[in-house]
Amino acid sequence: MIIVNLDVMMAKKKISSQELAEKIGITQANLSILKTNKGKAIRFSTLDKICEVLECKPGDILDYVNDKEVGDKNE
Amino acid sequence: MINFNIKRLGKILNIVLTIGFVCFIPVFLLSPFMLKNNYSDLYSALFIYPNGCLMLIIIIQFMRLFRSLENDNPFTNKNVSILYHTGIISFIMSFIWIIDLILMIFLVHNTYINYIIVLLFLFILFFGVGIALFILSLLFKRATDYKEENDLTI
Repeated sequence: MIIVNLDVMMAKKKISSQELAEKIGITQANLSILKTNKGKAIRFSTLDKICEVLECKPGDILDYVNDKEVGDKNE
Repeated sequence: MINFNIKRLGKILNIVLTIGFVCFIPVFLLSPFMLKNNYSDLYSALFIYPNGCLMLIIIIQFMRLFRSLENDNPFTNKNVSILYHTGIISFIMSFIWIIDLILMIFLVHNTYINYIIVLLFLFILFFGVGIALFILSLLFKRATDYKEENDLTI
């Protein structure tokens, strides 16, 4: 599964959720959905703006974790 | 393209149904006093009353559905279940009508053609409405899924 590590990048860049949401042009509720991995998809335009604001690459925000490995660890 | 306000439509339909609901209750309560004392009417009452109760449930369900139209949020799982259950109620009603028709012909021997046509019409009508509501509930389910996916696309 794809995990969004937005929190880490935000902490590195010392930017608040409100400020980031304003700069990207999305609501705080939508940013919260993204941060908590509840989102089903992300638009390229949104990803583009996030990378622009946080001065990073998509790989810094998105990560892939194998579902089975996560399940094994939990067990 | 026709530009109609879905909120206003929901409001109007809700008012119409509320008036219908209020008018329906006195008819429902007074109809036993209008019955003639013969087997045919008695058998009809036996089937009309359960159908009347089911019809009231359908009206209440539709009022709930139109209230969600008023709130501009029709594509929810609650509405899917409302349509599905209304479809089931409609099927039950159609089967009650067909049982009524069979009993009328074979038990009461009422072969008055107008009566048979009306009962047959009611059976076909409610069966058709049941199928339509089932299809509508499936479409609503699909639309709800799409809406959810769209809402969670950021």
